[in-house]
Amino acid sequence: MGSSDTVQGRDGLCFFGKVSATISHDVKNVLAIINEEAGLLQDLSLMAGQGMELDPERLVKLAVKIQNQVKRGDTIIKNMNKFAHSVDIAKCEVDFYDMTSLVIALFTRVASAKCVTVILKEGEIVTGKCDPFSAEMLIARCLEVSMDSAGKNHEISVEVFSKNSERVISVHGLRLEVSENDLQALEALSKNAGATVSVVPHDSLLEIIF
Amino acid sequence: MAEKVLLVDDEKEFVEGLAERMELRGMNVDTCTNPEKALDMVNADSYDAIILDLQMPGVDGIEVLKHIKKNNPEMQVILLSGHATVEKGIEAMKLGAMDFVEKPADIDVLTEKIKKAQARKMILVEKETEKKVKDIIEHKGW
Repeated sequence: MGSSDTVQGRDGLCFFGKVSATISHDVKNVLAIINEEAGLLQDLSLMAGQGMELDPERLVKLAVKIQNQVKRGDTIIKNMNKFAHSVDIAKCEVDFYDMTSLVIALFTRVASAKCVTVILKEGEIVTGKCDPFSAEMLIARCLEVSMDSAGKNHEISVEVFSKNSERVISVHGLRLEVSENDLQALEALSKNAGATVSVVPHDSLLEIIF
Repeated sequence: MAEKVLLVDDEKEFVEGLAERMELRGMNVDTCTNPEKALDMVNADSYDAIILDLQMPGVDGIEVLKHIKKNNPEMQVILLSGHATVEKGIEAMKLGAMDFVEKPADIDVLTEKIKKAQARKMILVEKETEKKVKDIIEHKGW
């Protein structure tokens, strides 16, 4: 087994399930748009067959829309593949910036449902060793807690950087107090990921340190 | 008579594509990508069918359904979802949704359901009118 045996079984499985369900929903939306655009092409073709004039510009616009959705779907699937492979190796060298970027992309729908904007500040490659799956699970939970704390129609910004020998992922924009239950859950997850999490209320800040 | 439909989904391109196809089939379609605004539209206008996405930012489609049915019980709501769970489907039907369609939707199936919705709404409105007339006759004692 890979890293999944280091994450407490069912919680890890639940996280995997949650991400998979979100991805399947996103893919369905992409397919639904392609279905309508292709259907529209079919409708227009049938009407052209009955003598209606067909505007080539209209066809080009529809083709571009389909191509854009294919690109969107491809990005979703690439992210899914990257995430699925994070259970392959229990401990390896990772780029924390890249990993944070992946988790934010996977949780776009969650952020959208909570009406919170998540911004990843530009940064450099920050490498270090960790269990990728446990780390992703911790980052995801920290993001969710931060989104809930920020509240509807607010923004959180994420920064990834090195400080001395530590790798830090900081989330700014927390507003409401983080509950004791959430703090306990974060503590358990951080132990699995070999990290520590601290919440600094007066700075509206949550920090994950690897 | 052309069916009057309100299409509510946060995916703008999906709404635009489906609306155009429905209009080509002779329907009169309004669209909305904001569930809160959709509630205002439902209160301000009369629709034969409302096609409502189950998962939208900020508001659960089930909540929107509850609001619609509370204020406009005769409205026929067809729920649309990317990944419908059986539980959600049952909950929606219990709350008065007319039907449940999974994305990507087949336009012919959806058109059929919209026609049924229109017929069902006409029956409900007729019954309501009949009841009102009866009440007037009884209370006025003519």
